[in-house]
Amino acid sequence: MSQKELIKTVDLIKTYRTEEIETLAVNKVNFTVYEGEFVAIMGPSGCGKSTLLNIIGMIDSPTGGEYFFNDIEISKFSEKQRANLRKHNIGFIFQSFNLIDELTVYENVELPLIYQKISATERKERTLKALDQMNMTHRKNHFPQQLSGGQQQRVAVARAIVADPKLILADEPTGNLDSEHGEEVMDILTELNDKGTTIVMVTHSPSFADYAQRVVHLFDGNIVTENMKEKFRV
Amino acid sequence: MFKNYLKIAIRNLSKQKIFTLINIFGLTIGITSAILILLWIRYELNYDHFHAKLQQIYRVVTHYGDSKVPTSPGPMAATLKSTIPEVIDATRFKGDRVVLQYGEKSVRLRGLNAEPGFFDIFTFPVIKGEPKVALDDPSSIVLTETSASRLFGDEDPIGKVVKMNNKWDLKIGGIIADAPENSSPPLQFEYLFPFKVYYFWRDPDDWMKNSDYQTWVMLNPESDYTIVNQKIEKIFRPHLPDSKLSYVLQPFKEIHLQPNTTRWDGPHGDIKYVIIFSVLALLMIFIACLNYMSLSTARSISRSKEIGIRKVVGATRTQLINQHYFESFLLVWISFAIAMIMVKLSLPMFNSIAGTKFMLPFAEPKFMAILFGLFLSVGFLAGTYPSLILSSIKINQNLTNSIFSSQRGKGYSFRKYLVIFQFTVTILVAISTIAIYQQLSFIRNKKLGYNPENLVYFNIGDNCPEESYNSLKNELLGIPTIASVGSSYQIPTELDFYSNVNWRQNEQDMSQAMAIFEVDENFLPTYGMEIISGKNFHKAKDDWSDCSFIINEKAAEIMKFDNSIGQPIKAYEWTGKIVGVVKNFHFENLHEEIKPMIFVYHPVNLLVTARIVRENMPETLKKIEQITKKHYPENPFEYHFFDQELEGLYRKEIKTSEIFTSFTIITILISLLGLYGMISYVTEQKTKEIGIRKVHGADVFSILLLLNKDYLIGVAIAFMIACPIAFLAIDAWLQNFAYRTEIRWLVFALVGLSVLIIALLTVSRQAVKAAMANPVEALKYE
Repeated sequence: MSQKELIKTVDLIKTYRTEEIETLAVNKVNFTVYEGEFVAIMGPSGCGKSTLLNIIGMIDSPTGGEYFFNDIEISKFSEKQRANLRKHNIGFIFQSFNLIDELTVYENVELPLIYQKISATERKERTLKALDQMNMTHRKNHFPQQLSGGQQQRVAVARAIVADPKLILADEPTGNLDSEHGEEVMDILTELNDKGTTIVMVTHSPSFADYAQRVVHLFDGNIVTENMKEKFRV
Repeated sequence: MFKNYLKIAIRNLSKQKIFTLINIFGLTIGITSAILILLWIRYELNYDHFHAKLQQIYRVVTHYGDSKVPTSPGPMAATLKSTIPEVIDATRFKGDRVVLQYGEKSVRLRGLNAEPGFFDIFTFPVIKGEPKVALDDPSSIVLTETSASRLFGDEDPIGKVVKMNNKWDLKIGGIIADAPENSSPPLQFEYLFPFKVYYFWRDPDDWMKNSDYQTWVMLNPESDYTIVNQKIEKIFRPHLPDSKLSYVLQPFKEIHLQPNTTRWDGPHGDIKYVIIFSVLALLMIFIACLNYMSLSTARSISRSKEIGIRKVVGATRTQLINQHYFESFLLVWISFAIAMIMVKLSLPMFNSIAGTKFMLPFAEPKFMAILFGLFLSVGFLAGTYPSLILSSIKINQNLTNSIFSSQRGKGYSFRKYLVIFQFTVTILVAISTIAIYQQLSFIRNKKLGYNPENLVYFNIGDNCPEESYNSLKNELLGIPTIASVGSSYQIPTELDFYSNVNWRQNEQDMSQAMAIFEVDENFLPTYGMEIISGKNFHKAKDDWSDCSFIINEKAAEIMKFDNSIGQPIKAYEWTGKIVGVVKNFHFENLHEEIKPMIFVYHPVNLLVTARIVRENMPETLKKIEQITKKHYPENPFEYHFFDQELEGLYRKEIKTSEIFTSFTIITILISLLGLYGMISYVTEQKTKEIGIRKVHGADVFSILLLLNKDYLIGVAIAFMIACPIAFLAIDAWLQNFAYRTEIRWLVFALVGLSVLIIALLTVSRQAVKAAMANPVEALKYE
C-alpha cells in the first residue's frame, strides 16, 4: 500500500440549518484515505456517512474544517473549481444507480467524457472499453428502464470508471440489488481496487464491508472506530 | 456536445408530451398573434410614408378657439414661401367632385384642384404623360390609374378628351399612380385638376375671401416648425388684422395617428391604439414565455436527477445553462416555424376583419430583422429563468433526496407570483374588452337627435335649376314608398363648412365660428329633426339679402338671446333672421360634444335625401333611379344609405375593436392554457401527499380544499390588483368620447367570478381524479 495521502480531512464540519434547528451532520471528522486503499464507511441511518461521502466527492461543501485532496486544500473552492477537479479525478456509484433515463446505456457511459471535451473517436473507444469491462456491450443501445437493477448498476460502474478516475466513491452501491448482483458489483470494485483505483464505499452491510481493507464507523457525525481489515476480522 | 443537447432535448420534449404541446401551442399562438399585430402596427406607422419628403411636409391648420380646420386663405401658400426662409416650397389645393364622361361611360370622381407645385412636394409616380404640365393647363386633367381604367378600360387615355360635368371638354394630360391604401384622406383622390380654374370665378389670392383652400408647405430639413409657426403669426396678421383665427403648421407624419382636425380627415388611426396593440403583442409573447418558464421550473423536480448526474460526471453550470437554453431555443424555433405557417393561413381572415390587404413582407430586410429579433427575444425570455433555476439545483439534493428535497421544487414562490400575474392579466384584459365592447355598442345605439334609418341620398349635381328640382321632388313623392324628400348641400356626417357667425348682444358685436348647413324646407322633417321653438323654413322668394336661419340649442345657448326667434344675424356672407331653434343633434361623431351650428335656407342643393319605407326597397330604389335619370340623364346615379355612412364614422374604431377583441380572447386562452398546465403539474406532484392524507383519513372535500386554496387566494389577489388598473385604463380610454357608457361594477364581478370558476374547475378536474383514486395508487406513484 502506498502511503501517499489522497484524501485528508481535518476537523471537518457540516451543519444543516433550518429556521428552527441546526443539525450537525459531520462533527470535526479527521479522516485520511491513502492512494490505492479500499475503505468502507458504516454506521446507522442519519449518522452522516452520505454527507461525508458527498463532501469527499466534492458534490457538497463543508461548513468548517479543512479538506485536502491530493494535497490541495479545497474546502473553500468554488463549485466551478470543484467541478473541474471532480470530473478529472472522481467516479461515482449510487445506490439508486442515477442513470439518465432519456439517454441510452452507451450515452450514459459516454457522458463524463463529453464534459471532459474528449474527441469523438477516443470517446467511442473508451466507452466501448468500459462497457466491455462490465459485460454490457450487448445492451449499449438500451435505455436504463429496459435493464435489471444489476445491469443498471454495472452501467453506472462503467460510467464511473470510463474517465479513469483516481478515486471511486460508492454510496451503498449494493443497496438496491439482490445478494447475487450485490456480490457481482463488489467483485468489480475489488478488481478495480486491485488495479490501483482508490475506493471509498458507504454501506450498511457488514458482509460487503468485508471487501474493504479498512472500515470506518460513524455515529452522530463522529468517527467512533476505525479498523483495518485484518484487525476487524480477528 | 451539440448532438448530445439535441438528443436529450428531443427525447425530453417527446417524453413530456403535455408539457411540450402546451408550450408549443402557447408560443405558436403568441408568436402568430404578435406577428399579425406587428403587421398591423407596421401598416399604421407607415401611413403616408410613400411620400419621399414626408418628414419635411406640413399642413396649415386654422385654429378658431377650440375648433381646428385644415383650410386656410388662398394667398397663404405663396406668402409663406416668399417670406419665411425655412419654407422651401408651398402649394395649395381644394377638394371637389366632378362627373367625367367618355363616350357612353360616365363616372363620378372625388379629386383635388391643385397647382403644378403639388408634384414638387408629394410623391405620386407618373405612369404616363406629363401630369405637372397638365396641372398648368385648365383644359387638361390628370387621372389616377384606377380612374383611368374605369373610364378608358384598356385604351391609352393620354390625349383623349372627356366631358366634365356635362359642360367642359378636357384632355387627359397625365396618369399617376394611385395613392396606397395607407394614405391619409386629404391625399386620397381620383383625379387632379388645375387650380388655375379658380381664377375664373373666385379670387384665390384674396385674403378676405374663401378660406377653404388647403395649404401645404415643405420646410428645410433642419427647420423647427414651432419657430415657423411664430413667424406665420407675424406674417398673416397685417392681412387679417381683426381675425380671431390663428394658423399653425401640423406635421404631415402626425396626421394619421395624431390628428387634431379629426372630422375633416375622415376615419383615421390613433397612436393610442398603436401603443395598446404593441402592449398587447408584448403581453401575449410574455404570457406564452411565462407559461414556458413556470412549467419548466415546475418540472425541475423530475429533471433534478438528470441535472445532478450531469454535474457529478463533470458538467459545469455554464454547460447546463447552455443545455437548457438549447432546449428553449429548440422549442421556440419549432413554435416559430409553425407560427409562420399559421400567419400565412390566418392572414386572409385577419385581412377581412381588419379591412386590410397585408402580405408577409419577407423581402423586407427590416421586417426579417424584427422577426429574428423576436425569435432571439422569445428564446432568451423563455429560456433564461428555467436555465438559471435548473442549473442551480444542488447535486446532493438531486441525487440523494436529502433534507432539502421538497415536493415544491425550485422556483416555487416565483411560480406562485406567475400564477397571480396570469390571473391578473386575464382579469384585466377581459374587463377591458367587455368595456370597449360596451362603449362601442353604446355609441352605435345612441339616439342622435334625428332618425338616421331608411334614408337614401344621391347627388343631383351643382347648379340644378329650382323648377327642375321641384319637378323631380314631386315625382319622387309620387312613389308610395317614399315618405318625404329634402335637399341639402351636405349630409349631417360630412358637415365641413365652418364660418364666423355675427350677432349683437347688449349693444356689443359678438362673433363665433359655427358649422353652417344649407338645406331646403323639407330637410328637417325628412331627417326627423325636432324644432323646439319658432318654425321650420318655408318656401320663400329667392332673396339672398334676407335669409332665414334655424340654429341649434347649443348656438342659442351661446348667443344668449331672451328669445332667439326674429333676431338678426350674419353667417358667412348671408344676413337674415332666426326663424327657429332645432333640438341639438349629433352631426359629428360621438368623440365630439355637440357644437353650435346653423341651418341656412337654400331651396335647391347638391344632395337629395328621401325617407323611404323599408318594404319593397329594391323596387323603390329602381324607381328613384328611373326618375332621377330622366331629369338628369348626364349625371351618373349613385345612391347611398345614410345609416351606412354614419357607421363609416366608427368603421375604423369598430374594426380596431374587433381586432383587439380577437387578440384579447387569444391572450386569455394562452393564459388559461398555462394555468391549466401549471395546475395539472402541481396536482400531479401532490399525488403522494394526497395518498398519505387519505390513508390518514382525509375526505375528498378536504383534499379539494387543500388543492384549491392556493388558487382561490391567487384569484382574489389578482382580482384586487386588476380591478383598479382596469378601472383607470378604461376611464382614461373613455375620456376620448364626449358621450360614454358607465363602468359597471357588475362587469368586474362577473369577470372575477368567471376566472375563479375556470381556475377551480381546472384544479378540481385533476384533484377529484387524485382524491377519488385508491390511496395505494398515489403512494405507489413514487
